[in-house]
Order: sequence, then C-alpha cells, then structure tokens
Amino acid sequence: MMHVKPLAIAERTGGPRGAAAGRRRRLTHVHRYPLAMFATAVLGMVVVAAMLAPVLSPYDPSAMATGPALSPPGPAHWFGTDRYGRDLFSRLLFGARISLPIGVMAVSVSVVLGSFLGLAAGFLGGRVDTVGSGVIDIMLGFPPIMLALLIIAVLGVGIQNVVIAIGVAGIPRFARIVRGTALAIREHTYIEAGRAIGASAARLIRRHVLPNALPPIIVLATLYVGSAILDTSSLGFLGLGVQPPTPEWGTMLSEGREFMRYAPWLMLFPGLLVFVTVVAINLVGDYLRAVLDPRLKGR
Amino acid sequence: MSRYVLRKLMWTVPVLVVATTCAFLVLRLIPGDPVNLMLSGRPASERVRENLRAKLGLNRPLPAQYAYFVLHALRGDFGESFATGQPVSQVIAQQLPASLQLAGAGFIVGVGGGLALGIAAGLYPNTAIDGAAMFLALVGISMPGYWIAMLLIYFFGLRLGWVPIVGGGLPALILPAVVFGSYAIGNLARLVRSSILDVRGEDYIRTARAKGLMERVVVLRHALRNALFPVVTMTGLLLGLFIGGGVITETVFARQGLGALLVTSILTKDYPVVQALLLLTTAAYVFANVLVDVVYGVIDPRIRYQ
Repeated sequence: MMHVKPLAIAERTGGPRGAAAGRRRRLTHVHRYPLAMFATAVLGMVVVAAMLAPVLSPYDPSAMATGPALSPPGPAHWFGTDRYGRDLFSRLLFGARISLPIGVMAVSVSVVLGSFLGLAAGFLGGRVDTVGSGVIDIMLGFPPIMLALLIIAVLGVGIQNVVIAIGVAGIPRFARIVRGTALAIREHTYIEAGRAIGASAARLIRRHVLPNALPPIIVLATLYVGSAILDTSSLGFLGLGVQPPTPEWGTMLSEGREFMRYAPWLMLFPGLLVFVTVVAINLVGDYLRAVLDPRLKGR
Repeated sequence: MSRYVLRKLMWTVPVLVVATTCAFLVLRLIPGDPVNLMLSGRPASERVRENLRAKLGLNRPLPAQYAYFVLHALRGDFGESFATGQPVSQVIAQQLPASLQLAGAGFIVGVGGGLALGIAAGLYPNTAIDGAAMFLALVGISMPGYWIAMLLIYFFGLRLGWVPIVGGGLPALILPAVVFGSYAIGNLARLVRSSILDVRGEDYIRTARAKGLMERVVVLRHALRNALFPVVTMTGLLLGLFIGGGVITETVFARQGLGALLVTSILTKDYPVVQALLLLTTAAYVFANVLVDVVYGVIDPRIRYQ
C-alpha cells in the first residue's frame, strides 16, 4: 500500500493565492462537480458495455448478412448495418473491447517508461539527469504524430504495434512532468532524513518519491487515455492502425466513409462513440486535476 | 541576444542528428530485404539484385552507408522513390504547394477562431458566453479530426451543397481549413482564456481600472498583451506541424499534400519518401520551436537570461 506524505499534499493544495483566485477555484469546482459525475457515469457505461458486449450485442459482430446490407437504423438493427450486412451496434460494442484496452495499454507504456526516465533523471541528478533530460528534450523535439508514424513505418500495422507506437510517443511528456516533480521532492526534509538513516536511492524513490509524484501522473495518464484512444482511431482511420475486419472504431469509420452519401449512420455512430468517450475522459481528467493537483491547473 | 539565439540553435543539433539517424535506420530496421521492396515482388536475377543493392549503397559497411546518407540528405538528395522511380525531392516538391496552402488557411482559421473564443470567454468569465466558448473549445479538442471532417462534408457538402468537397480553388479549401484549424481553436481558446484570467489580479490591471478605463479596454489593451504568449507558441507549433496536421485532413478530403504522401508511402513501403518526410517534418518542427523561443526572447527580455 502506497502511503502519501500528507505534508507534501498540504503544500500543494494550500498556498494563499488571493481571495479572488480562491473564489474562482471554488466556483469552478462546484460547477464542474455535476458535469464530472455525469462524465464518470458515461464512461462507466462505455466500460460496462465493453465488458458485457457478448451479452448485450444482439448479433455476432462478424456475422455477415444479419439483415439487408446498408439498412438504416431501425428496430431490428439499432444503428443499421454495414455493406456486408453486419450489425453496427454489435460491432461498436465489441469495438469498445479493442479501443479502450489499446488506449489504456498504450498509456501504461508511456507511464511506466516515462516515470522511470523522469524519476531517474530528476532524483538521481548529475550525469543521469544530463543524459535523461537530453533524451526527453530530443523526444519532445519530434512532432508527436511523427514519432508514432515512424514506429508504424518500421514495425508495420496491427494492434500490438499501435500500442507500442502511441505508448512510446507519449513517454517524453510523462518523463518531463515526473522529472519536475522528482526535482522538487528531492529537496524535502523527509528525503534528507531518509538519506541520513541510510536508505538507498532505490528505496527512497520507491517509498517516498513515487507516491508523492503520483497525483500529477494520475491526472496526466487519465487525459492521455483520451488522446491515445483518439490517436488509435486516427491511425485506424488512416489504414495505419488496427486492420479490418477487426471492429476498431476508427477502422470502422474508414470503412463507412465511401458510403457516406447513402449510409451516413456508418460514420455517424462510430465517430459519436469516440467523441463521447474522449470528452468523458477529458472531463474526468479535468476534474481529477482540480481535485488532486491544483498546480497543474491551466496548463 | 545573439548568444541566446545561438544557444537555441545549438539545441537543434542533437535532435536533427537523432532524426537523421532514425531516418537512416528506417530502411535498415525493416524486416526483409529492401531490394525486395524496390522490386515489389518482380522476379530478378542475383545480378540485378546486386546492382540495386549497390545503388542503395547497401553493399558498403554501415558507417560508410551512414556518411553517404547524411551527405546526400544535406544536399536534399534522398534517392529515388521505390514506387515511381522519381527523385524523392521532386515527389515532395510536387506536393508542397498544396500543403502550404492548407496550412496557411488552417492557420488563419485556427488562430482567428481560437483568439475570438478565448477573448470572449476571458471577457465574460462564468457566463453563458464563457460556457459556450469553452464547450466549443472542448469539442475542438475532443472530436476526432476525421469525424469533424466527415460531418462537415456530409452536411455542408452533400446535404446543403454550400461548398464543393473536391477540386481546387478557395471554396474547396474552406472545410479542410476548418478541420485543420479545429484543434488549434480548442487549445488556443483555453490558453487565451486562462491567461486573461491569470493577469486579472495584476497591479497594472488594477491601475488601468483605477484610471477609469472601460473593462473592455482593460482586457483588450492590457490583459490581452500577456495573453498573446500562447498565441506565439501555438503559431510556432502549427508552423511545424503542417505536415503532421495535414495527415488526417488531406486523407479525408482526398487532397494532395505531404500528409497524404506520408500515409501513402508508409502503406506502400516507399521508404526513401518516408525517410525524407520524417527528416523534413522534424526539421520544420524544430526550427519552428527555435523561432518561437526567439520571438519570446524579443517580447520578454526576462526569458533571455534564464
């Protein structure tokens, strides 16, 4: 069980910033609360729908000719059917089992590797920091989408490579935040105390630095899941991500594109689902930021 | 000042070296023999293969290959496209004007729209105007670019027939520009709003108010000056992202341009083109970032001495 130093949290949330700032913060907090709760509920529904997809979906997502091809939304097919007569609603439900895990896994890659890099650079300092910061700066020097596309260009398309590409592209952003936090934490008295009783750097990082660096990591990770889902669907849409017939949301949109004039529901529903999911995640992330880490506000 | 610029320029060197190395390695890391890609499945004698390998320089030791690649890249020579046999520089030059057009138009829409929304929200915080502007901004950030594009095409192009969705000319540029700019609109609006709100408590704002200036003048003339910093950042980023930003927009609208070219060349495994675009994009991005830093240094002398 991680235990968070109350001292550090108090320092973070406290700090008088003028009555006006305080009033504004309280106001936005109150304003955001219902919206964030609503977003959490929406997100929960998407997650539950993904888990219960086999139970909830009326048809097999890959079964063809479940009805007439390109039939519009109706009682038999809530969201209509695609060109092979597959049921769009079922495919979207199963698509959530592809898109959500890819987003979470990609962000896990960014979080783990980014935190490792950031903690090492920020806490150990010295030559490690010189090299680590250099790596972070160089990675940040690349346009974000290029890093992902470069990896796809070398590894090829497919689910696993999408996770790697988006995950690696996110590393420098996590590393930068974590390094900054680690630098600040290093100066605290409890770290000095830990050193004085002979704790190793590894132990200090594991028991003291990491738990205190967690709030910003959690906030950033939440927001990144949203952008990772967006990026995954974009890659799928470009034909560079998950390949058909896998029902990934972006890939489905791209398949529906040529029938836009006659079957607009094929692009409407997958896009709407990506949009709603990403907005919900962003709102939850904004809320977490307001609650967990006011320092990051407005950044 | 010149030392500051020089320091910023020095920083580009390692990034460009790494980018060059990545570009170089792309062709060496892909599974299989690049010569097979050049032949795209056609049978060929060992002699022909040997010739092709020599042409790519693959028969030389790795360091020599690297030196060869870097020296030629510096001269803008990235070899020939696997797909068409054209020089890569020529392939890129053909697509560049379309990309620049899109980037220019998208930039105007993005910065104009973002500033307008951000100022509106900053002038009237916690009102319906603020709420509407921030909702639009959230939509711009969260909505997949390709989906915005398809909705716009469907409603304004197919249903209402207001704008052409294919072809050249200014009318056909409207929707792509909106899509290209949508992400910038969202980000910029949020940044401008929060910078305006941040400077509200500053002394010089209080002074301006004490002088009896109208609230609008206070915000537009005094608060906004500081709110312009994010605009500079966003401008630089957009300048650098004109290829990456075009990837989605150009594909959805079936436009020409470097983004579309990049997607096609990745899909067709046309690696010389991929290498060149990778380097070009990174260089554009890096130098745009330097430009941003230099402009910051000019606006705010404090930054130069950090």
